[in-house]
Amino acid sequence: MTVTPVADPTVGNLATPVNSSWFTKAFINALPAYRPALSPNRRGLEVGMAHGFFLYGPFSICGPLRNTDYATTAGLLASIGLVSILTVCLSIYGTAGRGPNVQPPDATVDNPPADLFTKAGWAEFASGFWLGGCGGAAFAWFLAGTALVTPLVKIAGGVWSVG
Amino acid sequence: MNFYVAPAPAAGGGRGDPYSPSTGSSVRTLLTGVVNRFQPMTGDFAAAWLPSVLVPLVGIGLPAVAMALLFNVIEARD
Repeated sequence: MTVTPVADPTVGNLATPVNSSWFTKAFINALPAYRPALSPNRRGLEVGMAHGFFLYGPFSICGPLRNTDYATTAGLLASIGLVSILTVCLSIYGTAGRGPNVQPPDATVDNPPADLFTKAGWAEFASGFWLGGCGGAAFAWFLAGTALVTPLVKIAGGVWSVG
Repeated sequence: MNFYVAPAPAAGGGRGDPYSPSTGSSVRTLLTGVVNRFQPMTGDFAAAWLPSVLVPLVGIGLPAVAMALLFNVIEARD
């Protein structure tokens, strides 16, 4: 695997093992943002689920109410709050100017999804993100309350001397 | 310097009031005096709950809206 110019050698756009090895291409193109044949709303849903799911932990374990009975509830509400703020940011990005920046094909992503980088597509993505974010946080909140996961929450709390 | 230690008896004479001229007001006594004056952030004026609503609104809500609108203005293309 060597370093070769992507197209025009005089243009500084190189294909390197980092941006175009088989692993990188497989991983990046499998992400919900680039996986082919998904609607923008579905992409947003999946991206939101991942973000909502991982945001719950830090808020509930290290949040200001961590040592109270409301730690889990506060963690859930804080995650939903942050997901909502992120959704507003996504939305105003999509409405500003002539819409989202259209990503050109490059060494990693051969054909970026065209319908995502339009005003309508991005709005769909943002609404899917919000729904997925709230769902992911609620799922994490539910899981962290089960008897199977609660010991792990205590271990994590112990790592930050919170428990 | 831990501000939240329970106030020790004030050094020197006087009623321990750090601001009375008779007490040698060392920095610790001064700070202890400040700590003694800590009050919960409410008042007994009308609608004493209002600051706890308006301060976050003006400090967080309003800047967020302003930033969002300004973002649209600076990114406008036509």
